[in-house]
Amino acid sequence: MMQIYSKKPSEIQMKPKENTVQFLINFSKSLTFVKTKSEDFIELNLN
Amino acid sequence: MVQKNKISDSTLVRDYIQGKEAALGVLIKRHQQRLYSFIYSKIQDRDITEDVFQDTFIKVIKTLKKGNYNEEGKFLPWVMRIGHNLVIDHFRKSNRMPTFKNTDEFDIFSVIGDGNLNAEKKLIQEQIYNDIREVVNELPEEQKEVLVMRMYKDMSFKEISENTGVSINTALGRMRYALINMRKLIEKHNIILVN
Repeated sequence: MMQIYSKKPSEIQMKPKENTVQFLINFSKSLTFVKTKSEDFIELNLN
Repeated sequence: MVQKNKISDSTLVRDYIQGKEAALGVLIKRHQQRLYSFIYSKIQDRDITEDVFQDTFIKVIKTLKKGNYNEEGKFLPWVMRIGHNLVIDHFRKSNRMPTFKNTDEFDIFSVIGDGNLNAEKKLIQEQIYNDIREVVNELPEEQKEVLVMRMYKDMSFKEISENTGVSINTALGRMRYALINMRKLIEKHNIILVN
């Protein structure tokens, strides 16, 4: 029988660099959203 | 083996929304391999994968912090969908067409680009992708849904089962019938799927 696809993407075992993960954690800590009276968001990055 | 006392994604998401920043690290580390592998499988470039992975979680962070997340219990499929959309954005921006592996074990779902294709090859590939799209669209809705979740969103059958409200066996059956029906449609329409 013809194999319609070869390898599932999930079979490739890879991870991001540690500094990418750390960047995201730091980014999150520095990020705040403030809601205005008109229901809009102001993005504050306190880095 | 089932891990006992594992905090669920929905609990971690709730904790994070309530200001517990540490929950984000747990979520990222829990799903990093799955998301990263998925992105790399499509892009095949480490640096770009790193960027797309980062952009995916930046979107996740912003959505959660704004309080716009409303898919409790379905965190991973939601993150995978964002990653999938960003992969598509990447290919659109780089203006590269998806290619087709011309081997015995070719992967019709591959979306890896090749900037060196000539105009004729590009036309053939566009035709192949149009054909596949039409074949997929001819499938019954429930089979199409499972096929798209499995092949394009890289979801497990357990996740598909949770998202569609059917048992894992039913999801497996739908996938099997989707592939059988695709083969029949390909034969019926005399479609040639190699370049």
